[in-house]
Amino acid sequence: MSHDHGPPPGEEPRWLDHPANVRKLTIGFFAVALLFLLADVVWFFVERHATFHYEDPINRTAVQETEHWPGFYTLYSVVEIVVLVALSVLFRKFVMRPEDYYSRDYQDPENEFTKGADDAKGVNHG
Amino acid sequence: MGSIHPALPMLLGSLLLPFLSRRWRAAVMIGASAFGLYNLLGAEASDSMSLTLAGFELDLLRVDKLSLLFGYLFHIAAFVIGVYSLHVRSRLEHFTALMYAGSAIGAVFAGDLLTLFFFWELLAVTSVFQIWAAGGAEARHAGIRYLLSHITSGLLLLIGLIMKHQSGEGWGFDAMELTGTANWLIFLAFGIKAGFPIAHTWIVDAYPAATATGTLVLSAFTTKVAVYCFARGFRGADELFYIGAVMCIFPIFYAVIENDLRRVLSYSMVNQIGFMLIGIGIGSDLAFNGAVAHAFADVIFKGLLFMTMGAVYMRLGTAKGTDLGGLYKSMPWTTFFCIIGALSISAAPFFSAFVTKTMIMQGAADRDLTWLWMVMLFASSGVLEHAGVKIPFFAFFAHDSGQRPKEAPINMRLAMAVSSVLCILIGVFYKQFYALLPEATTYSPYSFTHVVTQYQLLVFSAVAVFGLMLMGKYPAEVRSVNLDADAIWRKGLLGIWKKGLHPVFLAASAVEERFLAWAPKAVVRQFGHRLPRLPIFKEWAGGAVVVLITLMLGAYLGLVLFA
Repeated sequence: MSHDHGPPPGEEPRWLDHPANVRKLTIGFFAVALLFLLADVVWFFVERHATFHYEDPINRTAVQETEHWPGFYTLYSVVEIVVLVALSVLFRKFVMRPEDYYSRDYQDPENEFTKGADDAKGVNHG
Repeated sequence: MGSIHPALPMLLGSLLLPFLSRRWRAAVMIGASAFGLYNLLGAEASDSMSLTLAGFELDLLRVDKLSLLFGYLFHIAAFVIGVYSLHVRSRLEHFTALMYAGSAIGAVFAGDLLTLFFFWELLAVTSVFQIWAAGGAEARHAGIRYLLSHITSGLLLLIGLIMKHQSGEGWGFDAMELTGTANWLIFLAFGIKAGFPIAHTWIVDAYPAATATGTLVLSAFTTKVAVYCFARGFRGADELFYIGAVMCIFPIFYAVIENDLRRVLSYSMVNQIGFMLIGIGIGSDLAFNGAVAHAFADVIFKGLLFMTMGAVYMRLGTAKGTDLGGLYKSMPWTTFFCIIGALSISAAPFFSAFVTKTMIMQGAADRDLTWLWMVMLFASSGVLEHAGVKIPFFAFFAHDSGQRPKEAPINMRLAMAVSSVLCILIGVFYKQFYALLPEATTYSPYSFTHVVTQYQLLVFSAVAVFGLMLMGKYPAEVRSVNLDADAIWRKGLLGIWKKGLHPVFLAASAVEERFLAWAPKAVVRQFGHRLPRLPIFKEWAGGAVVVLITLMLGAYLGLVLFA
């Protein structure tokens, strides 16, 4: 529904409406991300304070050791989001139903949710 | 002592509301929460109040740091709700909202289980009107399902406390071991209200069905009362962190694919309660502090997010991702507050959840619960995905929907501003906030490493989300509903009735008709009117399940009482 609507005619475009500016923002954001990645490079050379405290480093389990790897947090979060989204897309195949799946049982004439049952088309925001 | 019971200002204030004009209602709502907070500040740990009713000694008031913290929280929440709903015209909504807030306060100060039960039921009965006030079949049905969940919870609590009383333990509301039927029943009663997996469906079902302001009202109290009860009764129960871990994880998958942004926030709420239950289950001073602190912070930042979506819902009549986009152009303030809420819930350093959730995670690390720590890390970046990016991005940016709704009214903006400021205050002045927590602590969340690693987690989760969007791999918003556990009773049991039992009744009634047609007239005249008219069961389609459950629970209660 929303994808065939743009700004109302005659409206002044905003700063964010120009693709060039969106590109600037995107590049800026990825640059900030790179800065945070740089921290990992520094930490590669300097031992850091970590969440798990152990007097005896030999007794760390494999996962606790992992937390000390440079790039642990960055890698973990990227992999995690990809896994999360991939599994969700798969999950959707099993659980997704039309919008009126429950409301059509009510058989209630005043129920506005039973209208537009075939309007189940996707809108890509990406 | 502050002279009167903390729940009284709001309970008495609410009784005035039906007789007042809108202006006066607003004054009473805000005044009652402000006066209540003032009254509470005078309360001391030694205060108690008891009442003898029908031979039962009721312990109405227990004041300690734990109950005080939730008391402060509920007063702040009621104040924000009062401001946010100033424009609402419905007397019923105001009246029940304030009474609901009052009963939440009564519940956290309850010194015994019987008093708790009284407020437990009052919570259910007063809150359902926030759903029904939305009008329409959807809201009516959602409200009934909501009540069913809460009445079940109330019955379990009642049975549990009666069993405790009969076994001679009394009904004091103190730390309990998870042994014996009575304590398990109480545990489950709390669990239904806290949104245990499967029981969680009332949250994701009812919240998006409520009015624009109603969702905020509902989100503040019921589940947090349950979290308080777990903190009071079941601190250190290992079961809680297993359950909490499940609650942390599964909602984030639903949140990715859910279209209704108010429902996304409801799944997010289940996820956040998961964190709290983990903290309570770990039970160390640090984790326990973290759990109750997180409950405090959550009411404020989740409330803030619900307020922004409530404003969108009020202006457009929908909060579905497919219908929104580009709203920042006409609702800049709401957008700004939504981003503050998103940063807070994602635990960005210098915002509230950072100083609270951290304690729970550190608590898990200190106890060597590595898997649990990893689960929470997974859940944390999942939160960033749905609440940090999806909500603000799809509602206010993304594709321009072409809609230019008016900015939220001034009172709503004011309420959002108050919550935003609180989110930042908690994040920055964490020491003053920690001083309110039940256990003494010297913990500091702001080590250089911790701040940087947390930003790494958040920034790279966002990098992944935006990367997937740029590649076109991010799942599109689709007009849909997603099956959850409630499909078992909303479709499954209904299906058994429609396809299994109902045809049997129909067949039986056909046989009856045949018999009446075939039998001698004299017999029919004598006995015919005594035969039950079976087709009346047709009307029972949905109600049959309700009646069945009520009968079963009632029978069990009878057995317990008279056995």
